[in-house]
Formats: sequence, C-alpha cells, structure tokens
Amino acid sequence: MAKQPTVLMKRRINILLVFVIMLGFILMTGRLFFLQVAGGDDYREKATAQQLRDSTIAAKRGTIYDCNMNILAQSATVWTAYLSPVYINDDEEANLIADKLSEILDVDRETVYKKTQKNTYYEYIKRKIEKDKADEIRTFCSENEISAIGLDEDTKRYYPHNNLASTVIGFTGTDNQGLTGIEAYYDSYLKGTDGRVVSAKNAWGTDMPFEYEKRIEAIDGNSLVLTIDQNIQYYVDKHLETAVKEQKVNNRAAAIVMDVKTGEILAMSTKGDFDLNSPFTIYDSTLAEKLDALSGDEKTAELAKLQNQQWRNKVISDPYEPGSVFKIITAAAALEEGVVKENEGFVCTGSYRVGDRNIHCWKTSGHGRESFSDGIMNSCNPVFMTVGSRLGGDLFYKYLEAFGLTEKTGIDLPGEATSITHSKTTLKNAVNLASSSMGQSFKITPIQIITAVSAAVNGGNLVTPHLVKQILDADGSVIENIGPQIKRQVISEETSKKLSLMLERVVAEGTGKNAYIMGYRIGGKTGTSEKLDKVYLEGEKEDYIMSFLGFAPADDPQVACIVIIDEPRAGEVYGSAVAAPVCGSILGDVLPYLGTEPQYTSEELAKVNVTVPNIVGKTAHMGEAALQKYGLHGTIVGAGDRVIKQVPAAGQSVPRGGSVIIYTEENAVQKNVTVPNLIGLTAQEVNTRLTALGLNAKITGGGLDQNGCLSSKQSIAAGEKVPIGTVVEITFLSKDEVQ
Amino acid sequence: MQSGVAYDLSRFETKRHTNPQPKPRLKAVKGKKKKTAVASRISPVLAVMTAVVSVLICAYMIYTHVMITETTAAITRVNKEITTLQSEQVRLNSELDAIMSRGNIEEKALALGMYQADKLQVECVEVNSGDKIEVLADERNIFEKIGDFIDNLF
Repeated sequence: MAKQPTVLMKRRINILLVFVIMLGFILMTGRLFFLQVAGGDDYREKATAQQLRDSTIAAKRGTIYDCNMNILAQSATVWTAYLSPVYINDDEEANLIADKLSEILDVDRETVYKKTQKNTYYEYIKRKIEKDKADEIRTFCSENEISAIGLDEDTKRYYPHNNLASTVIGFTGTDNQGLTGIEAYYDSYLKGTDGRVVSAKNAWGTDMPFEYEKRIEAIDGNSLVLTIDQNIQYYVDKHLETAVKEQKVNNRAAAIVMDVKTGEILAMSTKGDFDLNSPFTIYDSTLAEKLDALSGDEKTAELAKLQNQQWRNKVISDPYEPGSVFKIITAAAALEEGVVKENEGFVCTGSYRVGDRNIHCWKTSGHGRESFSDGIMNSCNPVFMTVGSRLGGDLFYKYLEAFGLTEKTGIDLPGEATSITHSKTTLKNAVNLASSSMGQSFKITPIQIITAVSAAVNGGNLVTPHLVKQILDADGSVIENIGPQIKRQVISEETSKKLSLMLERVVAEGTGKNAYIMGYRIGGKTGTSEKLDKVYLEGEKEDYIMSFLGFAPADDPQVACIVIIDEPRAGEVYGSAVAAPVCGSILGDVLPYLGTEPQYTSEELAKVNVTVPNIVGKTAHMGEAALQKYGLHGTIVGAGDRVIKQVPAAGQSVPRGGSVIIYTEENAVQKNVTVPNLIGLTAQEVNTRLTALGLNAKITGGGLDQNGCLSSKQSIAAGEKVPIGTVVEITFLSKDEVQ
Repeated sequence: MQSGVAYDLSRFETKRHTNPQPKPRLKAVKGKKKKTAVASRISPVLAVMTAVVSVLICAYMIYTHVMITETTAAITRVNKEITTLQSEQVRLNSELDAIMSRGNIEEKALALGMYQADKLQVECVEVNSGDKIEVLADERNIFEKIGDFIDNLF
C-alpha cells in the first residue's frame, strides 16, 4: 500500500474537484441568469421601490398684491398632524396622546382617543397647523418617545387684512385650489406646477448622494398685482360698514370705485362679507347667533345658505333695477341723437300719460316749467319718459347695447351675472319704454351701470373693467401687463362733456346735494328703485334699493363711485338721503388721497372752519389774543398767568366764532356738560343749544344750504358728558323725496 | 608495410559500453524556490508602504462617501429649516399687517383721544419747480469761436 496518495488518486481527486467546481459554477451561473435576466425586471423594480423615493416638490402658490405692492394674500408652509395607531403600544400611551393632542390642537379628546383605537397607519387629526403647535407636538413626541404621531407638510393661505376686499380676492380650499374671486379666476396662474424628485434613500429615509438622481424642479405660481388700492378699499369698506349699521340694511350693501378712463377697479366692496382667514365661519354675529339656535339638517342647510350669501359678490352677481341712476344713459343717448337740447323746455305736471296709464313723478305736485338740464337735476320722471319716447324703442335698445348693458362687462371675476333687459320687440310697447327710460322694469348689475356711466362721462369710450394689472413670475419679473381695453366709442366727446357738467348740477344744486364735498366738483345721480319682483311676484311688501353714482372732478372725470344700499330699514327710503352721503364720504377720502387738490370757492372759504392754534405755555392774555386772530373766543378759567391746558386742543377744527376754554391752574375745575339730543333741529337751533352749554358746533353735510334742512347725525351721542369747549359735529342731510 | 591508418575503421565498430553510467535519479525536493529576479528586488519596507497607502486610499474614499452622505442630509435638514422659518416669517408678517392695518390704528388713535385732521386743515404745497437744465457757460474766446464756426461749415 502506498504511504502517500498516488498519482491516480490525485487525478481522481482533481477530477472530482473540477466536477464539484463546475457544478457550483453552473448552479451559480444559472441562478445569476435567473436573477439578472429571467427575473431581472422584477427585482429591479423591487430594488427601485425600496431604495428610491419619488416625491412631489410642491409648487408655491403665487402672492396677490395691491397696486402698491402691499400683500393681500400669501402662502406659507404649515403641517398636518396625523396618527399611526398601529404604533401605539398600550392604552396608557393612547390616553396620553389623546390628552396632549387635544390640548395642543384644541380638538375633541374623545375623537382623538377613538382614532387611537383603530388599526391603521394614517388617521388625520388636524390640518393647517402652524410652526408653534408643530414644535410643541415634536417636543411632546421626543420627550415621551412616541413614534405614533407624524407631521406632513402642507400649505396655508394667509390674508393679512382679514375681510378687506373679501368678495373680490376670494379664498382657497383644502387642496390650495382657488374657490371664489380672484383666487378662482386666476387659479391656473397662481397655482404653479409641482415638481418631482427621484432620489435614493437610506434605511432612515434620508437622502443619499445618488448619481442617477432625477429632479424636475417645481415651477412656483405667478403672482398678481391688482388694480385695487388697499387704502381706497379701506375707505370704501369703512363707510359702507357704517352705512349698513346706521341704515339697518337687510340685504347687504355694495360699492365700487373705478378709474373711468382705464377701467381699473380701485375698490370693490360688499357688506356683509366674511373673514378670508375663516371663510366658512359666518362673520355676521347676529346671523351666527341665529344659526347656533338651529340644529341638525336645518342647521346644515342654513349654514350652507349663509355661507353662499356672504361669499356672493353683490357688485357682479346681483342684477337690480337701477332706477334714476339709469337716467344718465337715457340723457346720453338723447343728447347724442339730438332728440333733445340742453335748454329745451318741458313742463312737469306731476304725472305722464303713457298708453292707458298715468305714471307719476316723484314730486306729485310737479316741477312746473324746467329745461332738460333742470330735469336731470330734479330727476324728473315725465321729462325722461318724454325723451325716451322721442328716442323710440329701436334707438333706445341700440344704446342699451352700445353701453354694454345687454352683455357681461367681461370683468376678470367668476360669477358675473347677465342683465335682464327688454328686447327690441318689447321696447316697442310704450309703457315698457317709458319705465325703462327711468331705469325701472329691467335689471342690470352695479358693475354694468358704473361701466356704462364711465363711458358717458370719460369722453364716450366704453372700457372693460378689470382687477389685475400685472402678472409677475416667482422672481418678481413682470411677465404680462394688462392695460386699458377700450371696446368702442359710444357717444362723442362733446356729448360726454356736456352731460358731465349737467350732472354736476345734480350735486351742486339738485337732488344729489348730500354727496357734495367742499372744494371738489362732483357730478352724479341719485337712484331709488322699488323691488317690483318682490312686490308682484313674491307678494312681499314694498322694498327699495337706494343708490348713488358720483364722479369727480366733474370737468374732467377721473374716478367714479357707486353705492348701493339694498333694503334699508332705518326709515329713510330715498337714495339722496341714504346712498348719496356714503358716496360723498367715500369721495371725500379718496380724492385727497389721489392727490386731487381742493379748489375752494369764495363762498366755501367763508364757511371754512379754522384750526385752533396752540396757546399752551403762553400767558393767558397772549393766548386770548392769538385766538382772536383766528376769529375764536377765549374763556379763561383759573387765576394763573400761563395757559396749562386748552379745550378744544391745538389742531382741532372749529367754526369761526367758536370758543376755546383756557385753563391756567392745575386744580382748576374742568366743567363737564351733558350733550343734548340735537337730531331734527335746524342749524340755528343746534348752534344756540350748543353755545349755551359752552360747546362748539361743527356743521357738515350738503343739505345745509337748503331751507328747512334738519340735523340728522351728531358725532357725540346725546347724554354723554364732555368738557366745555368740546367740538360736536352735526350733519345735515337734504331730505328730498326723490327717486 | 601499408596500414589502414587513413581510415579509422574502429569508428565503424560497434561500440560496447562496458561501464554504462547510471542514470541520475531525479528527486523532487520541496521548499525553497529559487528567488526570481523581480522578487529579489522588492524590499519589505516598500511593500508595507504600499499596503499602508492602499489602505489609506480606501479609507479616505469611504470617508468622503460618508461625508457626502452626511452633508447631503445636513443640506436637506437646513433647507427644511429655511422653509419652516420662511413660513414663520410669512405668518408673523401677516400678523403684523393685521395689527398695523388702518382700521386698527384708527381705532387705537380714537381710543387715545386723538382725532383725524379736517380736510380743510390740509394745505397743498407745490414742491416741484419744473424741469431744470444746466447749461455750461461758453468760455471760448473769439478766435476759438471763429475757428469752430469755420469747422462747422465743413
């Protein structure tokens, strides 16, 4: 026997080894073939799914600015808190989570606890959580080693000015899509395009460097620059809100301020509106209280109704009977066609016979002999019915079309309603033509009438009203400018100029006196229209819409303003008393803001109040002398020699002849008096009562020049105690029963 | 006598090996291989250095990959922080705008006893005095003026 392996043995071993190696090699090759080739696609997919993450890069929604680049709407990142109940270890942890989350997020504890009992990976708790709350949740999770709570990134839209221009700007939904207003109309511009990134993730889910990483960047949304001026919008909102409270308006109020030459909307307001940061909450506290009193399906239905009501933009969505404001269009058409002359004579007997009907003038006793210009000033119905019949149905309809009243204006907002007007055929009926000439028996929207009147006073050009003037990209570069769009020339420049000056008389001398502002030439027209459909179709009692449309300056109109008050319940039923003062207040703030310098006439200067000079620190008699220079009387209180206090204070505006109380001692007793009720008195009576009490009367209001004009508002309520010398502002309104 | 010396006939005779030499027996001996010329030239120091350098290079490569991963994670983290802080800025600016709104300021001013200035108290002042053009005074003497005039002719 060989002591060592023989050659043969070695050869056999080699062969066996080779065989084993070959077998292993074949098996491995076969397996590799199976993995790489046969099952290659399948495994590649699984590896991709495991290692790669396809995530969306959310595009940032564009910002909305006003015309001065103040931010009106902007998006920012927030979080959605969710629960993964499968990762909750025990009931103790579930209770802890329910307690803490309900405390941090102000959600119902029981609802959260019920979610912890489910066997799911994702239960949403609350959306749109801000950083402070998200940080509290993260701290809670790390302190208690809780992995069952997660935070997903989300976006929230911020509206810094709450309800400013709420019905115009609109709001976004849960998925950041525009639902109403500008947000909806320009949604495709604002939303941008989401991006994608395919990246490799490690076991902890964080990014790894990956040479094959594919990234498609998000394209952030475009931003919009509106024509709205935040300050003008504030003035309109403020005065309209005051009017709604004072007049106890039942069916909302609306106002627009528009540049007559370019069609840019400087302000657009509807009250009652809502807070853009909580659009689904009923903003009106009275309506909210009534809603809380309901329950179940009734409450749900009522909530939906109130929400839609507060979101509705009355300016573009609610057609109404324009009433006498429409007489501007009738006058423009008649002057353009030459069927009437400015100084042509008419006789108003108080009514006008049309067919088998007698249609009355608002002044049932009649205006007597008047020119056409007087007829506009007096808003005389028979004059306009006569002029309308001269135009005829065909021409009247032609101007309805020419002024854009039979079609939408094309304003860049969703939900614009069409008008409801007579057709050419029905206008052949004399009664329809007569009532249409006065602005009754058809419906148009406020935006249509202000656009039409702007065309009548701006030289005859019908412009398209618009709210957006620039579109910016994410870097702030302008990608589109939206300028004025003139649709057509409706009337000649000459007719337009003539008409503007005639409408100035309405405010200076006629039914629009309550819109008068010292130092400015305002033109305009009052309107009071009965809601005939409510009366005849719904059997409701009489109800009215009061309106006033004003423009300035009358000799070269730049801006127009319309105010609509729907169903005032405070007692006044005439546009001249309800809507005109509001329009006057708005223009009174807007015109100085726009830089229009007041030009006072000598009559106005004589009535101008004086500014109380500062006499504190002067000797008592020097102070008195300083007051006399301004036409004011000083009354010295105390035995000191220097003035230590004055009432009214320096800088306040008081009428000439007013008194200033000069205090010369620290412990001089400041006498207080009770302000009396001054409503319903003449200017003389007001002055007498206030002077007797040692108070100063500041008289305002366009109705002051009218005989028998009575006070309608006082700045300090009756019964309040004020120091003597205090200035009390009294407003006098003209109470023409004009329609 | 003649012999066959010219022909060495013995050469044609069959030679008989009377003393065959034994075949050397070859024996395979394990162990020391003969050093090659190349191996004999490689010194131990160089080999160690090469090994160390290789290890260092590998380690450095691994280290840089780790650093890249960590830096990428840090960049992602910081980017998220930036987004969060930007959102916070938007929220705070919104709150500030709400506080600084005209309505709020007016309300607070009235509560403090202030009052709005009357429009009649505003006096408009013209500050623009129109466009101005500055023209340099002509400092040329008579001869220069004549020369420039002649030049302008051509």
